[in-house]
Amino acid sequence: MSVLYVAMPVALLLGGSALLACLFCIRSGQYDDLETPSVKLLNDELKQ
Amino acid sequence: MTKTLEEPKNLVRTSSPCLHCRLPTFCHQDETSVFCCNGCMGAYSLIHELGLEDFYSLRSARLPNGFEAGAIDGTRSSILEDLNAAGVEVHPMTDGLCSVRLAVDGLHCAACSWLIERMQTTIPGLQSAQVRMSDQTIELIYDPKRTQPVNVAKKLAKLGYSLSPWTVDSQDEQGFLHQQREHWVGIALAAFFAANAMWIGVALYAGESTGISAGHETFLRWVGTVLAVFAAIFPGRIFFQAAWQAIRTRTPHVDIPVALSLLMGVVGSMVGAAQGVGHIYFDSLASLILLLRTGRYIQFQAQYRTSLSLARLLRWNTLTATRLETDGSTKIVPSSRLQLGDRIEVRPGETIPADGIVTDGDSCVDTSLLNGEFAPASIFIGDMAVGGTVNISAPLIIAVTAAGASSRVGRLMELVRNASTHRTPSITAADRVSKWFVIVVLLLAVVTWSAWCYASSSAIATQHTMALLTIACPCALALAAPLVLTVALGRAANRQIWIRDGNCLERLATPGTLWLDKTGTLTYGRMSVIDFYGDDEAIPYAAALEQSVQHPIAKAICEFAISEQGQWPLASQLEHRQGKGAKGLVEGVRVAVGTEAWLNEQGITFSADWLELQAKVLSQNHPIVWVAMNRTVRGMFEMGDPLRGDAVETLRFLTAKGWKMGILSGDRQEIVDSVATLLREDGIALDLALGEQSPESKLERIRRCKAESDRPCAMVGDGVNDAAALAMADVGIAIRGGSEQALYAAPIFIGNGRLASVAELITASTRVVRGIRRCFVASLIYNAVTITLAIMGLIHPLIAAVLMPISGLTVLAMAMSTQAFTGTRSR
Repeated sequence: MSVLYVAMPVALLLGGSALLACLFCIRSGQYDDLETPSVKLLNDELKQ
Repeated sequence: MTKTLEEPKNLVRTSSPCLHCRLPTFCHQDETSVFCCNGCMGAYSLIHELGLEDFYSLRSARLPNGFEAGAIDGTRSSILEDLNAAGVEVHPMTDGLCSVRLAVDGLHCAACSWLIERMQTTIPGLQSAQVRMSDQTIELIYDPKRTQPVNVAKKLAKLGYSLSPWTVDSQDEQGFLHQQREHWVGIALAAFFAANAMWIGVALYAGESTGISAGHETFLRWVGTVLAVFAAIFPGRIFFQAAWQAIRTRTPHVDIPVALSLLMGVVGSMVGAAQGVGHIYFDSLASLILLLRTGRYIQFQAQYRTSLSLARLLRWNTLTATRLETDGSTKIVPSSRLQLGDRIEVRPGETIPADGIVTDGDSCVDTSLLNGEFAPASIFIGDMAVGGTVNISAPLIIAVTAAGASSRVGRLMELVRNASTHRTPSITAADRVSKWFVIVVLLLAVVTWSAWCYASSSAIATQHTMALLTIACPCALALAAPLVLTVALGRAANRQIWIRDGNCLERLATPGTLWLDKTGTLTYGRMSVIDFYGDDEAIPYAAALEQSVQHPIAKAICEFAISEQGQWPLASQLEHRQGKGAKGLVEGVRVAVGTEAWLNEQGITFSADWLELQAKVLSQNHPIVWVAMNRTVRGMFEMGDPLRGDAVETLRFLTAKGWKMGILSGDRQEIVDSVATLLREDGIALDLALGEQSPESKLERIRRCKAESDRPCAMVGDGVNDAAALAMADVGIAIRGGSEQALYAAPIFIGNGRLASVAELITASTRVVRGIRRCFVASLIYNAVTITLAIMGLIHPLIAAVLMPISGLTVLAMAMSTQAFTGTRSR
């Protein structure tokens, strides 16, 4: 049996788990405000 | 301290900018620490006391013309004393702390959020203060035993940021967050399916040229197809749902052709996988869904941002009232809470929050927003004060007779609501074309299939029909119009022109009738010195007297004196009479400034020359202010409400474009006539210059205008009295500077307050329509050529699959390159 029949589902599963992690991040609100974190990062840098 | 203070561009001559807010001051260049007001000085020293000087180096160097900082009336923040009454939700937290979300006004850049968050350590009991730039709010977590939000608000008010109740409904906001997350989830899923389907597709294409075992090919086909079908079922679901909704309600909608093409893709992929021969479709299906979802997200963001900026603008005008309690104390309450019989205090400069009878005080009010009359009206005990007008010179005590919905403004808003429900949504050209396009393509597909079935085998027929369906790309058509509009709306927002309804922009491309409000729209809506006759030496003397008078005429004379001379001496023995004038001693000279009657009272007589001049000016309906020094008349100020600097230019431009223009004003007919005569050359039709129009008659006029012709009827206005007409017009354009009610009503809102933006809108509108048309034509030509080739069986499905995204990308590029709202001043 070709390795493809094993490798492909494994690859999709790996990708799928990354997708699930991403969905979890979205649902937990990490993507709700995309502006403030970028601004704050700059502030702390300037403070030093 | 590092200072990156740059010189603001619109400085008054020979003055240095305020250290805190960079607004021009009255001080000369050689002085270094100058402030425009005590508020700014307070804020500056407070920032230094707290050791937060970095603020000045952090803030962005390209603030246009100073920012509105400095003295914010701290009393406004006392509305937060009673959080319950102000409608603020307090969320208790587990460890005895509370959290509230409040709106912050005055946020400009990163430095502001930095400053506010550093403030937190200086207020005991305040656990954290988190600024959210995206919606300009702050979340305070505090210990209710040790501090209250009102303390934070008072401290921030000293720095020039005012906190107010966050007016966006928390449910609306939750709804937005939920929708935004759904969009992200959809894009993530679609991207996953598309990326995987794509690489499987690449494997198959590679296999086709280098050889692939049949088992592997079937396996790959099935995996790819399953991925694409999942993509259609999960992230692609919304298109089918929307299309089904549209079919059920029998309204044409862009989602119908989109859903159909997705359906074709699903069927095509399934057939391809089942037969195991011919071309594959699943990769293009999956990537199409990704593109569509991304497009939807961009559109959703643009719309939400628009509504948010409007909500923010409306919040600036959140009305509060100072209520006099029975024990003589005062309390700040939201004006919506006022009741019949309440006694309220209105200080100079404040907006009267409700209708009522004046029980104490002697002042004048600016009623221009309500009825378009720009000259202030005197108001005495026993007079009726109308909510929405602005108190100018002295405090007033008012007994409330009507508040909220029953007040004059409340009733006008009812008119607005009625007018807006009468607006019918226009079906755009895009919807019409897409509908026909789908029907024609489907018919052609049936014909092609039957013809090839008859001529050869069913397998060949399926192959050719697939090529036809793949190559016929209705999505390019369906996407072109919204894409062009979205791009234009985004660029418009950058110029502070907010467009809530994209169709309005399309409507403006055909010239029709444009009605303009006079006060505040064609003119600046405030008193200014138009001209001065007489001895220039008298100007600083007049300004010296007027400096201490709270009246628009006095302010105008001071402004005029600044621009003419710069400085003036101090006055003593001042005496001032409401509505008449002032007198006093300036550098040993007895000066009197005021009306003719006021000067006559002082025993000053006018020579015949002066009287002749007076008659000339009065014939133009301009008020006159006289100056006398040592009992001799030395000069005459001609006052008036000057035309906006860009008015003539804009009107000329609109005339050239074929628009018919009229004036709808609440001001007196003779004043409207004199403005119309002035602008006759530039396109105002004299017979359409209508004065003394009540809000109701403005509404009626717009309704008649709409009934009379098919051409668009647009209205530009700024006041409460224009609101109903703005809502009724085909295209209502509100100009910043006026009232919040006008903003509610109009689908287009010019935030930069420039009349020239109307011309920009018209130009952009023509360009948008042209852009959409260009996309259509390109797409139709492409489709006509390729469909013909496909029907004749000349196109291999593989080539069709390559051509389809190319056509889509072409339309995309064409849409993005539409020149709406680009360049410095679009013409």
